[in-house]
Amino acid sequence: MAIVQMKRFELFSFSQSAQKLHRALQLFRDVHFYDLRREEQAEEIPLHQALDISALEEKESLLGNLRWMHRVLEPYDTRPKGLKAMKEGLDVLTLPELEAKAASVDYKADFKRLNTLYRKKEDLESRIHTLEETIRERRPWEVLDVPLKTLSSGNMVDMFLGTVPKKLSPAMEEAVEEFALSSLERVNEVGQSDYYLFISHRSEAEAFRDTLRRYGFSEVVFSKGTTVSELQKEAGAEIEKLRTEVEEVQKQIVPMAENLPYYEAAYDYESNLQLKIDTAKQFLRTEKVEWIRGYIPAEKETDFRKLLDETLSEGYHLEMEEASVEDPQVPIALKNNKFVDSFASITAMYTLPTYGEIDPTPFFAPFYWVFFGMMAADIAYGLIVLVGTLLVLKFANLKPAMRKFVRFFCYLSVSMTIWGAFYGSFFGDLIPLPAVFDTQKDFIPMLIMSIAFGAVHLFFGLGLSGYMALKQGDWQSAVYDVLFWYMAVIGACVFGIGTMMGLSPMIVSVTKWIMIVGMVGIVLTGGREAQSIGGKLAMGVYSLYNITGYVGDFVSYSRLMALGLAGGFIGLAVNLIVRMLAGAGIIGLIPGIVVFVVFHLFNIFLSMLSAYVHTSRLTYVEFFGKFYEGGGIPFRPFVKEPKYSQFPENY
Amino acid sequence: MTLTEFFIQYGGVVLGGLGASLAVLMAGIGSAIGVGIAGQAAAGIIIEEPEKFGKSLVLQLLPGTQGLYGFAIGLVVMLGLTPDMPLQKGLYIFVSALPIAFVGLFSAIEQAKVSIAGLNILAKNEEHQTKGIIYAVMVETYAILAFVMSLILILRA
Repeated sequence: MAIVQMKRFELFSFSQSAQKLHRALQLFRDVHFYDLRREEQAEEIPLHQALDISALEEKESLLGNLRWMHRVLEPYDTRPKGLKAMKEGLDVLTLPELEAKAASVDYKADFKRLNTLYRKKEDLESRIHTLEETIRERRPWEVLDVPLKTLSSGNMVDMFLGTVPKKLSPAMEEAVEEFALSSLERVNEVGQSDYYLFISHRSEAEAFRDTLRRYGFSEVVFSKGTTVSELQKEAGAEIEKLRTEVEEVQKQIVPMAENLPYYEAAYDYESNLQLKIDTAKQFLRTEKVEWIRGYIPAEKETDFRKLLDETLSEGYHLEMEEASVEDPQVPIALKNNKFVDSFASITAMYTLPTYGEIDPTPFFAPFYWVFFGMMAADIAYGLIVLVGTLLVLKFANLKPAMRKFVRFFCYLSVSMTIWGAFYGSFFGDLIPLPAVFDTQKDFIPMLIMSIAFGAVHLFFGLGLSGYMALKQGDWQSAVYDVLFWYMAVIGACVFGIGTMMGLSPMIVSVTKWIMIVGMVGIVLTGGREAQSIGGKLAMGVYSLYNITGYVGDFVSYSRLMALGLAGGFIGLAVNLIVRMLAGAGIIGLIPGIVVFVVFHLFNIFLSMLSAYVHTSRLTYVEFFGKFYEGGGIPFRPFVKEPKYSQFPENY
Repeated sequence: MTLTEFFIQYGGVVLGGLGASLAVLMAGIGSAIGVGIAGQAAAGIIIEEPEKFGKSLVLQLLPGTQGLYGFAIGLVVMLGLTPDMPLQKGLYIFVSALPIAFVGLFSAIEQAKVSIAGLNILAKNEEHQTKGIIYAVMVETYAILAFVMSLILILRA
């Protein structure tokens, strides 16, 4: 239950066994490397890494090819999709299994083959496209039902076809009239262009064409002598022929999709190889020796030594020691029971603890559970989420991270249900239930309860800060920064409430003195790190001023009440509409049911989202603010999470 | 009937009704603007990466809740309206609706701006988009507080 104990090692081995060693380390998995290039000596060592760089580039382009293959073949994938795929989930494979699966196809050759086929298909398709374009352009000329060779020019006559923009054609026709030995014939008009046949005597042909050009004339030349309709038919036949060819190629491409599972395995495997080569850049290697520094979980030490003995038979040198709490590079892995582990993502989203700190997850998890339920309180909502998440956990094969996330909400839904019972809320006010807190009236008791929860939360956080100080043997901090604050804040609270409620004078005066001792203590010790006496006192007064922060902290917990009410009343408003609709008889009933389902689902989503965010906030700002700093580096195992499959749990 | 007489007789229900309208109106306008501008930003992401639709939808919808709060207040007020309501009660209800009306309007627009920033996170660094959602929901806190205050005031009327 806490941060996993780590060991730091320095490993010196022969460079010739590097490949073998890296492979063994990747199979070992639970090892986190320190980037030795950051060490100062690194610059003095004659490095020997050129080979790795080109290997890395090669891997990257290979991965790019595999991604491309996947994109091309995905549309022809015949495996089940959607719900069924979710139920079956991803295959569970270890790294060697991935390797074996990938090796059963020759994906490099397959890539070349697919690439050739795909290019061929693209080429054919672009030819089809060009032909279709030509047919479309020629269509206006189809009315010319004479063979095109009869339109050809001779020694005396220049005969040609062309288009003129519609806007300019009247002016052009007018201009043409000036030529005595030339004529034109409008063949067709389509869209913005007019289509003409021009005839001109050689003697004025040049001038005629010049004139035409001024009106935006563009000539159209046909290469063959048959009629336009013939040409169109030929092109159509050509397209048909190309289409069959495309189909032929397609018939060769589609079956390749059957190998998709293997290409996916290849991708996952190759991306691990890429990670291996990329990570190896963090090791320092000369021509003879390779130096690796890293961390392993302490419990794996024996396995690790055994692995090195087996792999590096030609000898190696290993130094291993307990990771020091002073070393900021120690990677952090958290290990907790199932319940607490579900909340680890909340810790990770903020920041992981450093090696010298404590893992805050087990401490905030119960509070998180209670607060979340309070903010999203509803029996029906809780039960829906509970049943939903249980079904998913039972029937769907999810990735471990996703599974953890679903389990997280599964736990929280229980809290939602319990608080729903306290508030007497079932789909808002759908069924009147006896309630401990009546959300229509008991605002003040709910507010007091919220702030009381807040007080427990805050003081628990403060207590953890004291515990950590004592653990490090720093009793001064424990007394000055924790005990005095307890006295000042709790004393002030009880004194204030006692005075207002008229409790016995003895309690009032005792708590008054506790408060005063605490405050004086804070003023005297709060500035103990300042240099001068004046500075100490000023800082002391300033740190007492932080007591106003506690007021803000307490008030912040009013959100526990506010969010609980907000969700409940949105539900109530939905029911109000539904009742109005249902009151209108059978015609209103159906839309009523639709509104009921849609809006309550929306409200579940909204309440849970708000509860998630606001509980996280109370954890991060109010609770962590009292004791937690964090800043740890996450432990990165020497494997890359596969994209299309998953590693076995605890592998 | 003079205007004064009318006002004395029906002023209560008029002011109360005005409160209900105002809650729905202003919070609704705020949400409409908010969801609108966030939607534009979301559409920009979908051009390149259509698979982010679901996630961008969450960010787009966040500024939409204020309208819902205003609507819920409007409904609760509506239930309590009677034609013979005294003037002072109508005025009280009117004032009760103001928190969600104003905070709803402005918080929805401000929240939309944070949502857009969150959509940027989604576009460039999808892994951390939850953080964008958290930032945006923070703005909502004040709409919730206003909603609860309006609600408490009305229920105590």
